[in-house]
Amino acid sequence: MEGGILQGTIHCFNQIMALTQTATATEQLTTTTAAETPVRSEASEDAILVQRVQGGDVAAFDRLVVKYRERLFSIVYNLTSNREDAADLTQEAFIKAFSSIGRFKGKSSFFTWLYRIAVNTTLSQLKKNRLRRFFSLENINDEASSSEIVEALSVKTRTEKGALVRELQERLNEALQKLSPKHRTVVVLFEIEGLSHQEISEIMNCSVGTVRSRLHYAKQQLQSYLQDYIR
Amino acid sequence: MPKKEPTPVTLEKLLQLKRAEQPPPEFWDSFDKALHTRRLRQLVDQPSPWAWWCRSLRRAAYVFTPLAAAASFAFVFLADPERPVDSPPSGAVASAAEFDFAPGAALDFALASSGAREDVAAVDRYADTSSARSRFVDETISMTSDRAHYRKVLYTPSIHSAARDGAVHYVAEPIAEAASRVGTASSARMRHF
Repeated sequence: MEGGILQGTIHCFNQIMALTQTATATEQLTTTTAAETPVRSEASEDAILVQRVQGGDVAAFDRLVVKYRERLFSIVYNLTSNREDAADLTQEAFIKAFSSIGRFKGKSSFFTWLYRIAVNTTLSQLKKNRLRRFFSLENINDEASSSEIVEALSVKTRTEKGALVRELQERLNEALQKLSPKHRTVVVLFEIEGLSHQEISEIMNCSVGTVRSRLHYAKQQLQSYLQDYIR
Repeated sequence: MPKKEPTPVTLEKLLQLKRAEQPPPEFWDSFDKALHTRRLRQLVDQPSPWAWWCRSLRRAAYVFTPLAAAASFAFVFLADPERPVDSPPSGAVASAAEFDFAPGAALDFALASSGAREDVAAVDRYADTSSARSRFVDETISMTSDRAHYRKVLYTPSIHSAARDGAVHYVAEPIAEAASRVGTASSARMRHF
């Protein structure tokens, strides 16, 4: 009798464990799917739009422009620290992408391909005009003033927030421009744009190890340029 | 109540401030208009396939013009028809080395069938044989008592004819003409061509 109860208890326990495991697995699957879905849907949406452009639908390219113009402009702007140059180079990158989209085979994602065009266009322009550099900075929005870091620095340096934000903006742009274009690109893509090492390596056509080493070196340089603020 | 710890300032957080540098919304209107204009201009200025061909031909001309000039120069100056030929022309059956015999041997060979050195008919008979082939032989240019000067000429029996006066004349034929510049050789000097 006791043995039967024990066996029944063990059976129930096993069933509960099995159910728990199934639930956990389902939950994990759901979580993974939820995380990957936006990326996948974004990629597939891009693929559809690219196919339409390749088929002659110019309006589909306009949708791609609207989707990526802010991100592309941001990268180019942070590489050049000049809003007019950034606008010009971003447009040039889009035109290059439009004229060569027929050759895009979809081996990489569209955004990687587009970013590569923009980065290469910018780097070759920087190489051409390396002696003719001047800042033309964008307005910095109000979010920056209310950020924790500005609050902390404002207290520490006893400076008015607005003035501090403008000062920080200039110092950051100066520090970035002191880096070599390739080191700057890695910092911009990783720290500001939030891309992964893998994505950066694809965009810059180099190994992940090279990306990591460039990032490490660039951050060491920036630390020394901005040591007055960092603690 | 414990005092709140100040936020540590890191490089990463400082760099994130750059995300706040964004153009105002109205910027994108002018951006889109400029991009649209540039794209239209690019479509209008897009070169036709003919232009591509013209450009390619022009590029090819840069490469091939000097080559063509060099080839013309070589043809005109190096392939001088007056220049004596030291080696058999392509297509010649025998080489000079193969028939590097002593002066007079060719004639001996040609007249061997009759056994008579002065027998012009033998030359004719030899010339008529279809098996006769071109070969280099030595022709006497000048002869003194102790020295003779020779040069190699291409001898083709089928294109030579013997004259009754004892001299053998060339038939005006390009290959023979190019090979040797001797108009007539005297049979009296034992050199028949």
